[in-house]
Amino acid sequence: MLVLSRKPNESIVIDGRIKVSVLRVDSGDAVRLGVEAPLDIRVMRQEIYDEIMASNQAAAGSAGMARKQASKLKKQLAATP
Amino acid sequence: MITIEKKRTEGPVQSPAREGLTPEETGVELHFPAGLLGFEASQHFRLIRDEDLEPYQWMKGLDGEQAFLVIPPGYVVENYNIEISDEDQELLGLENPEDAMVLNIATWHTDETVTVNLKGPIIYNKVTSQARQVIPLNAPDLTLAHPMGN
Repeated sequence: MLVLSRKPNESIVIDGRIKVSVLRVDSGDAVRLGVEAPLDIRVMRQEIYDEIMASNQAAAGSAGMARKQASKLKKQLAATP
Repeated sequence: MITIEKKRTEGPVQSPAREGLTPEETGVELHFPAGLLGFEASQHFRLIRDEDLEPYQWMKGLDGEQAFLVIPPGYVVENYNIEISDEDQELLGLENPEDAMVLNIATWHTDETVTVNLKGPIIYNKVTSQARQVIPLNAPDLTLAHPMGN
């Protein structure tokens, strides 16, 4: 991993098109970052990425089983209030 | 920001047409320029009807073996409101909330329960045929694994 020291109002540039700036360092341990990137670069908090990715992977993995148990799946749906 | 609202789909659970999906649209191809989260390389999917499973549908990857079970939120919750960021709106080319088809990914668990991901919905712009798995601005209020039935 590349490790760099940056102060507030300093930035790093990734691939000539993504700029990550340190906006503020709180007295606690939070660092406020600003990201400027092209629209098609998806920027998100890692926790959210991880949980949606895990959910997608579980869904993809379960698809074959759902196919085999279609009748049970329909029962689940019928029971939904 | 744009808000998309989907309400509970009334009537018997029979046809995806009730959520504004005509039979023609259920064969629709979805183009995801950014893929799905964790499946970034999977950019082309097709919605496939399965009479045994309606109103669930298959979203089958054309790039590989990937398949997902998806369901319109109208069959899942009473009211489903999601706030779409300006960036997502622009990427989807979405000018009007009515142009958006919303699908949520379902997971069939080993204990034979089903949960639906309301936190990372798939938005499909019926006008531009662009699709994207978005994280709505109101994601903290949405459920990652909403249980279906009992």
